[in-house]
Amino acid sequence: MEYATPMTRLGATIWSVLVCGAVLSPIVQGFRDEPHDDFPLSWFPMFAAARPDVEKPVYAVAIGGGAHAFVPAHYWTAGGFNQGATQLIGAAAAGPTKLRPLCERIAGAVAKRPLRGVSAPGEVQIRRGTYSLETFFGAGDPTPLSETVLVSCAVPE
Amino acid sequence: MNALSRWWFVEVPAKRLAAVRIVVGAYGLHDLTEGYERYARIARQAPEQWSPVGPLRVLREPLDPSAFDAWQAVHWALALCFVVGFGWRVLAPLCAVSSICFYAYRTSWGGAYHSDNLFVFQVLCLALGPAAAAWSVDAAMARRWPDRLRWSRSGPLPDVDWRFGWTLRLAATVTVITYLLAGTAKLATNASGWLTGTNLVSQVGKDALYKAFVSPPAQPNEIVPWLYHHPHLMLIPSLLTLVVECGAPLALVDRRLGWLWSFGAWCMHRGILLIMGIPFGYPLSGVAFACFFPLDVWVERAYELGRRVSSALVSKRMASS
Repeated sequence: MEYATPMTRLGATIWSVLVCGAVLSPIVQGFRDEPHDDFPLSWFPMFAAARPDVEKPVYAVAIGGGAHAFVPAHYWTAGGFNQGATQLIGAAAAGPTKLRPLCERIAGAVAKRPLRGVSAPGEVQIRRGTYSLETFFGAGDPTPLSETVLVSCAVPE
Repeated sequence: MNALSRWWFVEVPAKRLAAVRIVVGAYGLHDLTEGYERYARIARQAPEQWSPVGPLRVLREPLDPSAFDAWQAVHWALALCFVVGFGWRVLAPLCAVSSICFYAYRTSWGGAYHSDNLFVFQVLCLALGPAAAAWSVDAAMARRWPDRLRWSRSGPLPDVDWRFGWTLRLAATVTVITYLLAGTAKLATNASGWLTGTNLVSQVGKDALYKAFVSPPAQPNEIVPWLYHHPHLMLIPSLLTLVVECGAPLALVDRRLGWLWSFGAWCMHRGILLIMGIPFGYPLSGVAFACFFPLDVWVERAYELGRRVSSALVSKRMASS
């Protein structure tokens, strides 16, 4: 076989329009009521949207022996904080079908690896808290305004 | 139109494009090597965590881990071929497609890693051009065995050609577009919050709150409570962020503006790392902005300097003996 014919200016122009057009195309998402982000064609919405006065984070808590501790993301994902938080939020949005297996997986990991703050964990809960950022950081008060247990499961022996 | 054409199809040396291929490819290869075990563990998560994005929507369920392992090994080999510039005509486009799918696969398990988007776009741009025309295995083979594996290499080109410049322009333009999109997203969804700096305080607070609960025992950066007592201070970084992101197209107007913008964008990411602890690896490494700089000139100056120093040392040694 011979060499490929070198790119012509017309070919380069077509590729340029296609690539730049594709990368630019998600710009419309910013003007939609329900924007959708994707990979690799993203509208890069990180940090863009207005935050509410109160945040409602979802987190996992291990309980046992009268103590409790937040369970770090590496107990249920190798993808770090970002992936761990996204999986919790996604499971909470999907409901019990996703929450229950995630909770059981976290409980299984807690049974295998000691968790700082709880010497004998017997239960894992996935909770949604309601926090005022102003109170949490401004006044230094870490108490939630309210807290809901979304799912709980026993830590296996 | 002629001026635009001259600018878009600017003639540059093959080595300039080759240098960008090497640093972008090396970044990707390093990421794959350093994260090899981690990516394998991510691919072994429970199927209910799988929510495919982008091109991977064609998959109804995640790959069998052994299939992922095979893909990862092939992708690693493609990334190596990309860095050294081997079989460019065939393997570089394959590497670009594989990169898009590989990082989409990781993202399909949850989380958004926005600096990966720019990385895969730049790999795609480089794969479209003749980035292995210099400083590559293909170039070495073309000199030594001109008739072997011709089909796998890009065709011969002059040392200075518009195709090299076009590829770099395309990569730079795509880089600028990603930042412009980020700026547009901020103005479209919450312009007043960004123009007054209040939204940045809330974003920092929200991120720190999640980190306190989802990555203990790490505590939120001590600067966060302090920022809540001095929220007006976030006006400056907030406005600077908008200037860097919305002003990104200026980086294409003039090469010095391109350098200045690259430095500004890099500083923005350093600031995000300092305050929020979020590492946008690709821009922080500086590699994301390589297409704005004459890396070939730097390499050749460094080589010349090294040659002079070594010859001076040799002469000194001979004189002393």
